[in-house]
Amino acid sequence: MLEAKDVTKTYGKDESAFTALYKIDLVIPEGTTTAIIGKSGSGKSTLMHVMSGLDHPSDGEVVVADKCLQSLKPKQMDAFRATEMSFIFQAFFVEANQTCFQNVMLPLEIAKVPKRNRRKKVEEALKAVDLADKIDVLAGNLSGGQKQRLAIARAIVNKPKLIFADEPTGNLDSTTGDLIIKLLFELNKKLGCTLVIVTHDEELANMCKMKVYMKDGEISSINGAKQATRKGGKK
Amino acid sequence: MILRDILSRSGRSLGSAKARTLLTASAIAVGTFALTLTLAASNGATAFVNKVISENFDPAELIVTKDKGIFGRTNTTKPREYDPSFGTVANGSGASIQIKRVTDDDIAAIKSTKGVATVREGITVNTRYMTRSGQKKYVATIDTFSPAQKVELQAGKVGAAGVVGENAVLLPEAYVGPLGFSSAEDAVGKEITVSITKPLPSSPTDIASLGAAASSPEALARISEQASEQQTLKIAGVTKKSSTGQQPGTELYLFADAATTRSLNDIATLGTPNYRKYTYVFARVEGGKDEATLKITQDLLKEKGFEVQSVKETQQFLTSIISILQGIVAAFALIAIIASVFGIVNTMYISVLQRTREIGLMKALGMRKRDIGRLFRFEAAWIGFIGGLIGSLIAVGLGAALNPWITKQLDLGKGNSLLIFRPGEIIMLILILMAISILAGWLPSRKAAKLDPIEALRTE
Repeated sequence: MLEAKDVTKTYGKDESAFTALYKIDLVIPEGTTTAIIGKSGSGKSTLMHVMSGLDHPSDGEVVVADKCLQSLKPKQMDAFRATEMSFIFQAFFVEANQTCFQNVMLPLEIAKVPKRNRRKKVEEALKAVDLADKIDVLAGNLSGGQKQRLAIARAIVNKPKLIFADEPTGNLDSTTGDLIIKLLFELNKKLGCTLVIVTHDEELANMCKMKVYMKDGEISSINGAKQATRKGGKK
Repeated sequence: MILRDILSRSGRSLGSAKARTLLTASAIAVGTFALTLTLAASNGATAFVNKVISENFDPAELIVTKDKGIFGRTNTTKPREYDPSFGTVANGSGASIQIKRVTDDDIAAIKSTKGVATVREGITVNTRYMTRSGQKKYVATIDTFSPAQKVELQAGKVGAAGVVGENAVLLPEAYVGPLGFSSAEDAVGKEITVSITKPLPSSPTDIASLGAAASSPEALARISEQASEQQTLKIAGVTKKSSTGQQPGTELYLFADAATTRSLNDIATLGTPNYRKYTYVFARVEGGKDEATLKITQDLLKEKGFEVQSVKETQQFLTSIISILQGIVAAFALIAIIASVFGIVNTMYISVLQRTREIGLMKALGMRKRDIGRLFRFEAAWIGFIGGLIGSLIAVGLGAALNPWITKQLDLGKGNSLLIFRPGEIIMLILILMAISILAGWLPSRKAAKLDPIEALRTE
């Protein structure tokens, strides 16, 4: 379970202070798919950064799998992210001059997975995204859709409990985007991981079990989840 | 992330900017090339000096003089009081200088010093000429044979304890043909004649008659011939051309025992101020191979007013000159390496800027700050390694190709090389370069480690 408790995020101080998130309370059940929707500047990416531990809330706390991220030391936080969560970004962030194998292996190296177990895990991940035959191909030689599938393979190789996807289809044409979405939801079912998608694509959001609408740093509404709660105050 | 993974990932990262990496490494390669050759030349020169010393000098002997000048330590800018022992020699730079010499009384004083077993005068006799019946005359120099001297004989032999024999010489092989011998073996046991110029008469009457004779070259030649003494010497052995003669220009020296050179020198100097005066003598110390024992006798001789240098000190003096010369060359190479350090800093900063989003991703995936820093420092180390390897390999390759030519040009002799490459030194050099490269990559790696992952991921 992923839980944001009374999370506020403010940038700057005094007169230049800007509140990107204000008293966010959100519970995302384990194994579900959740879309965080909103316009640019609504705070959806900031919420993802705070929930993933990449950023610290100014106030409140985030609990993932019964662990309060704010109580973890940097070393523990890094280890937690390396084993429990993963990311898919709009810009893919694959290493063009490295092979698919080397790209997908990165999270395993970071998580210090023994070398003897890596090959099999990478092969499984690439197979899951239908890139098994590209294992020794340089990532730079892949198409946009293949690159995003490679990024998904990298995200699932360590079997994380939680995957954050930030506009995963933003750089893809609609046909390829649809294939990627299909793949993500299939993996969610197959692996049982929690999938949090940050998007402004209503169509994509409708495919998720739960939809969290953001506006001006606050949750404006939550749809579709029994366990989801929402509390919000006025800024 | 474990070190092996960081190391291999950093190596792969360099592949994304091959040209940039190679250019940066090339700058290091230039310095490494010069340093590798400098080290090799230093090794070669030192090994050659050591070989020359060990094959020509007895480590149990002390070189004893009366004057610091022989060791190049005389203050020539101050007036020096006259002493009858003064004589003229050429200093290291070729200038003619006057120095005090060792007399028979001095030799007696040296012999009486505790620990001194024998004293051998350093005598070199320049003969007028050397010949044998029916053959041409050749200029020849006879040097005193050191029992410690290792000569390679083509024919004949040197007696026990390094004795050539009474009125006997060792003849360089180069003279075998010119003196009419069919072979080196043929020469052994045969005799040669050396002509020693005696000092010309110095009374006023004789000087007047000499002045008159000088107007006629034939008359002068006749007087010179009359003023020479012929000595017959037996050839005890024929020496092969030495690759480690004491110094250049001594390749055609004949060698004779001290007693022989002393008697020839007496003929050449009798009646002159140079009679029985020597620039230096060799004092052999009982048990002198032990440095402490040698030092005791050395100090005792110094207390008696002698200037004394051990063979080891001579060796150190020569190698220190080599070291100074090598140091100058090495300094230039170091300047090249220092310049290349800035290249590494620049390259690494560019690398951090270009890979900002990658850094962001790695941080998002849980890579620790420390490991991000290491990743970039290892990249810098790889650049140092590649540059070091390229530079040293080119130096070794070039050295191996040029060594035979250099040996021939410098006439170093078979088995001697100016450039001696030691793998241990090259490995150490590359490791030092890698360490320097890591230091050069420190600031860029720190910048990478400190990057905010969110900002890094947002970078366009």
